[in-house]
Amino acid sequence: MKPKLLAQGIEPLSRWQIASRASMDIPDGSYVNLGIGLPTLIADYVTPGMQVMRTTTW
Amino acid sequence: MNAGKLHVTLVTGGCYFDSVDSFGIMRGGHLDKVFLGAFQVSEKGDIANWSTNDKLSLKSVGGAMDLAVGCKDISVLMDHVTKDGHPRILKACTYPLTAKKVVKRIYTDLAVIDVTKKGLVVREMVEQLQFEQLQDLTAAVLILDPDFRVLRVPWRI
Repeated sequence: MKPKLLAQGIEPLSRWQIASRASMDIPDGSYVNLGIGLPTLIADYVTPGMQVMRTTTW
Repeated sequence: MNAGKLHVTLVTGGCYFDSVDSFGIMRGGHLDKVFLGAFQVSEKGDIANWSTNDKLSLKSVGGAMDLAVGCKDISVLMDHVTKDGHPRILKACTYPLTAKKVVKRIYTDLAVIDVTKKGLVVREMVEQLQFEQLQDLTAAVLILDPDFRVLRVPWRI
């Protein structure tokens, strides 16, 4: 799918961009659980001052 | 190390807690938001994220089922289609379900989609992607939000 889209000038988001976009929807002070895989990357985009609880459970 | 086998650093004020506390937090409804990965999501918000019916791969349910019943705000992050190009957003999941009717929002590499009573509403799409193209990559009916926006994420890493 990707080469086809890229040929048309459409650039799908990277894994980190998906995580970054999701992180924008976390209100300050919320308690959040991040699942394993893609969601784990959200932790990289949590800004200081945000209170996030992360219970990555296996 | 976290459950995903990645190295982590604890920030000031951070803490660790055991599985008993963890499940207490999940089932007790103390979480505001949950982000999960998934193999498939249906148009009704069903999520399948623990088994692909592949006999060779390890199956583990983890805490996803507990999260699904314990939290009211569940979002899914996943690629829009599989590596072979098959849709992951379907009318009904073909893999075993983790939970029914729980997903509120889906973030993919192409779009941000809300699961609503009316159906799947596309709120954001990546630049230059046509709605028809997105529909072709999705095995469920999509509705385009008249106020949809371009899904643009600055590189921060």
